[in-house]
Amino acid sequence: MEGAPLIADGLDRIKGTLDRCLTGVSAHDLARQPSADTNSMGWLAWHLTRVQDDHLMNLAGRGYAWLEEGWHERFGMPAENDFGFGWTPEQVAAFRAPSSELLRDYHAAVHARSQEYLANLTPDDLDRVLDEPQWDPRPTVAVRLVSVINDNTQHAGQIAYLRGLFGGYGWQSF
Amino acid sequence: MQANEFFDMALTRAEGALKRALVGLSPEELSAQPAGPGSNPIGWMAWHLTRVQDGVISRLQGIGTEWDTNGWAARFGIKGEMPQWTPDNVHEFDPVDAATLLGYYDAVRARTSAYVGGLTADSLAVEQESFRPGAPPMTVAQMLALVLGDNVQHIGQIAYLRGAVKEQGWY
Repeated sequence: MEGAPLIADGLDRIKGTLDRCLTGVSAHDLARQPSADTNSMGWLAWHLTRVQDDHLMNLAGRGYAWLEEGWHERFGMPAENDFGFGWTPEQVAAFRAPSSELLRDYHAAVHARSQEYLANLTPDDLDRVLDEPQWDPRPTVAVRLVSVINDNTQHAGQIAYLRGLFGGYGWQSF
Repeated sequence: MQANEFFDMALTRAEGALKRALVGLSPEELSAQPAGPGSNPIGWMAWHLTRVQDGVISRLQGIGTEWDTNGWAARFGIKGEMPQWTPDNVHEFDPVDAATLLGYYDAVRARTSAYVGGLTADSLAVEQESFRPGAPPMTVAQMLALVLGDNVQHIGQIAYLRGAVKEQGWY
């Protein structure tokens, strides 16, 4: 297996976790913070999907699903490429995802675009050095993909933990 | 770039988060259940994710686990058979301390690095029996993806709980 399919497999796992964890979650639980200043399931799902949308579409040289497909309007948010970096605890606490279905639909849209990009990636593409002089050494496409997998998989795990916390042991039917 | 190189890069990235999240936690904090009774403590998750990596990577090589080979059960105070961990007894797991958890992790990780560093395109495509009875076989590369997904999710959970135990701003 080449590297890109491993990343594709990782993205499928993230989507699978989100689909299982975000099915039938109430608006209350989506916004719930188990203790002060912690991230809610809704914010985590929105944030990880926006990170994937931003980072993968930058690599692909495409616009973001968030803006191109009007997802920002459905979330009631401005037409900006905001993915949650630098938000204050107050902003996170005030975030409300309209519904778990919308989060899953947005994630599915981003996932499809990400997989389309990965399917066409060549081994040479993975070694391309990104024009980001703020980093030393400058990252390659492969390094950026590893960042996304790491970020998104950690957040998916956090969502699963919160779902278990709110849903009680045994919510997972397998 | 092959899947094993990606796996190694991704695991290296994630374990930086694991080490940052465990450093300076007391045994009490490692055993705490900030999410309430029945929920997984930080220490149990660090141990569990290491056991998963140890178990899968050892099985792929057909060798004994680091856990069994190097006496880790005794270092974790487990005598006789390993308990079946459930929400009712997970709080009884003794994480010892962060250094012991990371010692076990580092020992397993060294074995994992040596193994994955030697994988080729052909060996990544070899099919193995699934862990789930009756499930279709999985390739070595798919097994690596499974370990990565499991381990990185748990590392994310540990980082989240660290935030809940230590409050915002630790990161």
